[in-house]
Amino acid sequence: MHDHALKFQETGTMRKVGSRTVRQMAGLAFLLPLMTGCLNPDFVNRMTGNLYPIAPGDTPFLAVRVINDTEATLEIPIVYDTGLTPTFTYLVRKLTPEARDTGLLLAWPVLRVSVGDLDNPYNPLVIANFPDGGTAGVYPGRAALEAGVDFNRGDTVVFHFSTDSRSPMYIRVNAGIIEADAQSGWFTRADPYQRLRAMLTALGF
Amino acid sequence: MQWRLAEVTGRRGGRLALALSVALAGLGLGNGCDVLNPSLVGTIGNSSIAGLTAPAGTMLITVLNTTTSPAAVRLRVTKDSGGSLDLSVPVAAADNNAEDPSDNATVVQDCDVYSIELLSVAAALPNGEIQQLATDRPPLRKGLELSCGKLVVITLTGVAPNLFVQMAVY
Repeated sequence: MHDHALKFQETGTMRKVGSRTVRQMAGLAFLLPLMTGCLNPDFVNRMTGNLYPIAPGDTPFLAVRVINDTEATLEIPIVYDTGLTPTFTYLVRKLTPEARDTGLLLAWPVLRVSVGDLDNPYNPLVIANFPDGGTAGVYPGRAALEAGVDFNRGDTVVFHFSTDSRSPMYIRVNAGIIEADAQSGWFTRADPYQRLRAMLTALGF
Repeated sequence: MQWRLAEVTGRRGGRLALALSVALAGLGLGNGCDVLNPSLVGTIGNSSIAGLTAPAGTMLITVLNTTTSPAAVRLRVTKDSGGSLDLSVPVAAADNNAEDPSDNATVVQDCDVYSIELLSVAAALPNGEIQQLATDRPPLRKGLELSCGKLVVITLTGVAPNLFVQMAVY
């Protein structure tokens, strides 16, 4: 009898430890992605609650972001072509490494977009002012991005300025995209793109 | 009998643990873990944007010009990091033409904005003079007026030379 009770107790203990281990592993499985950054907002937006949009999605805009991950303060002309002449230029002034990023929301359609020069990718029209007082011209080194090829309606195009590993004086320009498909539909929190579209439509802009 | 039950429980626990591990690995591989898959922002062409994460959300700052005077709005955006950025947003005169969007302009910011201050608004009057509009209003601050997903609207109204600036957050 006593033996049985002991076994029972041991069994209970084992069961308890087993379930605790499983709970701990489940907790770890939940926390680890959050701690390591695996669950990025894009993933959260896709899979769960659709918190905030990070691209215009199904609204008639194209977002263009510039990100400064260099040691220099940048002057960046964002140039774009809507089919009207002349083409448009928006100058981002004094984008410091601390301020890091900004961007522009363009009404669709946009045919081409670049930083610096739409037609000459080697024209160094982006100006980098380094902390030591030095100045350099930066060019994207790639043809202007084109609608239907590189981006579509509702996308966010990203121009990322980063320091090349070979020299802090050399700045690389890379292009990236957050696609509209990942950002369409309803969001559980504020969607500024939908609000803006509704406002522009209501006011006749 | 009880020991067998415990074995079963243990086996189930093991299976669960295995399933969780596989799910965790899948989560990282499939959906953009920093270590395993750095391409959180898709690349274009032969670009390399390793380690660049997508923003948590965006705020928009829109300038609407309903006047017949072209204008330029200067703003100071201060980030959570302490860095600040002065924006100069030009807008053409209102044209009542939805096809020409140059009478409004919108700036996109990540949600790391701490405050937005309206520095100045200058409008070009028909006689060629530049009129500075009154802009003495306190900055918009995170936690009060600003939060992720907000739309800040600056509207220029009136008839020259009686022009006004309105600022609202939606």
